[in-house]
Amino acid sequence: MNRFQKHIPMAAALGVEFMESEEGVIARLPFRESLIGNPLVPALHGGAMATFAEMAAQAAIARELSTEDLFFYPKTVNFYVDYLRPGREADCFALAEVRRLGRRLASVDVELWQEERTRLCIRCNGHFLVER
Amino acid sequence: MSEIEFAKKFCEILPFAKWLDLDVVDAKPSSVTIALPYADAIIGDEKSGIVHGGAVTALLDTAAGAAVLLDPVKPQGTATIDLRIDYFRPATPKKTILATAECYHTTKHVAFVRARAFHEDSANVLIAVANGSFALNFGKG
Repeated sequence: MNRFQKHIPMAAALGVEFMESEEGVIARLPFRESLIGNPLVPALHGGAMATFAEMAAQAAIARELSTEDLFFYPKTVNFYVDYLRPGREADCFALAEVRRLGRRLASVDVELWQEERTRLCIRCNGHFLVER
Repeated sequence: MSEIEFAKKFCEILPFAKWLDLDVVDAKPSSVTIALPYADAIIGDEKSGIVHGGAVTALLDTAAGAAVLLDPVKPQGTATIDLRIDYFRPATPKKTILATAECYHTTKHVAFVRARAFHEDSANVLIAVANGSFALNFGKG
């Protein structure tokens, strides 16, 4: 699945890794200093966590629609982020699950956590254009 | 410190804003405009060279946070409660993206912000809009 990195240059620049799971796609964002948004706490930048979650959502759709030779890039229609707790100086993990895959649109839920799977940092839902 | 000096300093001390090379273009009470220059590292779709939606989200989130800190209620800090982004059209590859954020209402603990992203030469052609709420922190005591 890490061919997704090649097709999403920003994912490669951030070092995001993608793995398949039964529920959807699990992605990992390795911690680095440049992801920090609040140096006083310190906490990860909310925009960095949201970017990572959006990539995981795209990968979950692309997994369903891509073929060996053709990578399908889902375009974002909207993205909602609920910030539950600050991201600490540690790796982030995201699980993206496609809730609906229609002819034109897909709806994807994403959960993002760090050390503990049940302690979510953000919760997201996004709609994406999937018209082939 | 003037609003623009304050906003520039805000962008300089945030490592992720620095990674994105964000630069403050304008700032006044409750409002700020920040620029995101085009770079290979923020491309979403390698075939088209279009900037990733997440980079636009990070720009809008940063501008929104700065607008809250520039509000006359003068919070010491702020944290995003939630943010919703609507993408109207892809950004044009190679072009700088601007975002203007406005903190348009505050209550005792919460600030409400709207923000929009566009290109410099076409401020009426929106790339994305964002609406968010932010927690206000006034420090202890």
